[in-house]
Amino acid sequence: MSQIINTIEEYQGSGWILVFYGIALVALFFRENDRGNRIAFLYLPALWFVIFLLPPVHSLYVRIDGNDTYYRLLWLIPMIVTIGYALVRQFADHLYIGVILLCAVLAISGTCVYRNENLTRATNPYHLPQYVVDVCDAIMEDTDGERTMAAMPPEMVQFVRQYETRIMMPYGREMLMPSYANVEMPVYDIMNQDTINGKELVAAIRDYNCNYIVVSSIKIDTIDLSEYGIEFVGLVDGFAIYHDPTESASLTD
Amino acid sequence: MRTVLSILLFAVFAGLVPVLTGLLPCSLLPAGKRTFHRLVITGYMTTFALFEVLGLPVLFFTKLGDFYLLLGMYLAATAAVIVLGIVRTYKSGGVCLPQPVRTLQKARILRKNGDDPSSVIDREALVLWIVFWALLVFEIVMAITHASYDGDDSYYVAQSVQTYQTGTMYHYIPYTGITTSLDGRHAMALLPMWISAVSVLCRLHPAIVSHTLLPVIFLPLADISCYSLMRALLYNKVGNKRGRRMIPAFLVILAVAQIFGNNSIYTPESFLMLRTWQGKTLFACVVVPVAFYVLLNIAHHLQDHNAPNYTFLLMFLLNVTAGFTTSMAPFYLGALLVLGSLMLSAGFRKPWVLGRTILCCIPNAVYAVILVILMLPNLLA
Repeated sequence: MSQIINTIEEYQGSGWILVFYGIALVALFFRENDRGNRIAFLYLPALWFVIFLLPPVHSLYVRIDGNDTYYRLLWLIPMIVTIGYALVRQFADHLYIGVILLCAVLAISGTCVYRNENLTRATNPYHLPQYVVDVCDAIMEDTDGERTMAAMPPEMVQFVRQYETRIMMPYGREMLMPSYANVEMPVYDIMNQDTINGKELVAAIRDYNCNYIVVSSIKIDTIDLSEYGIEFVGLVDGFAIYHDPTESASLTD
Repeated sequence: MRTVLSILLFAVFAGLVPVLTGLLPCSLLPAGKRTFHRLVITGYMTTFALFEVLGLPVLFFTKLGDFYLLLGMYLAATAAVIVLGIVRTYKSGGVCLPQPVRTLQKARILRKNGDDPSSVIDREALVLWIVFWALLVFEIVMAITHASYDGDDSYYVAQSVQTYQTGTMYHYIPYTGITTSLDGRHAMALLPMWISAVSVLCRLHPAIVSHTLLPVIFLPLADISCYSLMRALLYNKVGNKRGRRMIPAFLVILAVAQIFGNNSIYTPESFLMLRTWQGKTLFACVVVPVAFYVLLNIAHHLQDHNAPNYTFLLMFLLNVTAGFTTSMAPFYLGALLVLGSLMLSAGFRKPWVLGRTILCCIPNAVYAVILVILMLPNLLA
């Protein structure tokens, strides 16, 4: 039961949406007189919420899809529509007042989506960091558009293949997930360190037939790859791109 | 010039074509009920369902998932559905013009006859409509000018780009690009492939289509879904001015709730505004409101003793569309619709409602069987 309560708390977050929904539901319970509306719009979501609260339902769900997505059952309760419907019914003769009142309450109690930390002004139509686009373009120019594999800095792995899938990677976004915290991935482990060991890195990328290395310029002083036969391609938007000319069997086959 | 042409093609293939596919199912309705919002939601459900039904066999029975074969079949089927829809609709009385156009027509006639045209224009409603449109335009502009970085895009958008660049479907690990066996858990939800199809047709990179252009379509689509639901709730009140003005009032509240709905990362509003192009969003913000719209329509039909063929067809399309959005959606939606129809059957003493609903949920059962077969090796491992 505590997991279900946690799910509700996490779903509601900093807002009061479930409280408002509860109030709207009670108001409509007394006010709504259409039988069809009552069954399909009041009783059904209320029953769905009761089902959501049942521990056996939660246990069954967790066995199938895990606890992480249990909150999605709450998506099947049309909360905002119910709140809006209850309000326009209640303030039918004074809509301006009702709308201003509820909008003010929603704005004060809610969190503006445009303040979300993951939202930034777009610098290109891809809505990807410009340095990712530039680095990928530089690698593709160097390969004449041929497929290749590149070890990317951890901060870039999430974006690279949203722009260019001809660039493969020995590791991807999965390495940033908590569930992969204990998974060993030599190239990632080396790339993720503050001080990169050039010898170890070159050995690791050759094990994966990886032809390119991209390193943040902050780490450039710490590595010298030329003594291992690695060529410097260029510096793009603060990232150094290196090429390993060693033939890659898996990609050329 | 090329960019303008691409944007126009996007408007055609992601906007106009899906709406036109709605003509065929809507032709089951009387001409007076073929309203714009019905056409839009039915059209998108038809398009998505069509893509899913054609896509799954191609995914399973062709080498590496022959995307261009699917694209060809999708275009041919869409063209056939549109032509049939136009013919059937034309022969049976056409479609309803959108409400603002009808109001303007009435006002023009009144002006022509020397009467005061302002009597047909409800100023209070007009103000609310203007506020809503301003908020919607603001949301769209913000969606175009701001980038939202979401980790799941490295799966979904990368799948679209992979398909766009290789013509294969779901046979590469999107995070790394290494070839793999078919990813059954996610492969059946074909929205990323539809995005690839639109990208190929309008010659734009899937990241541009997903992140910049789709919000222009999906944000209004989510609002039209909620608008339809609200109209269904107010079905016996929209005949008068007092009832009609409740709808724009509700839409203003909806828009404000979307903008200030980022209380947690889990709310449908957060998904709609920050991950507009993902299947989960399409499910939570379009499929679910339309599901309640369907159930309400059935309830109202029962009160009027009508046979709701169109509504059950929409329910069927909706169930297929659920599979198109995300792999767990058919289970959620099937459970909701069966439970809802069970309650309606009991409440109105019409057991056939449950029977018809179960028939409409056959796609969900088929989907479940395929999913279990695909996931069985992983489950047993």
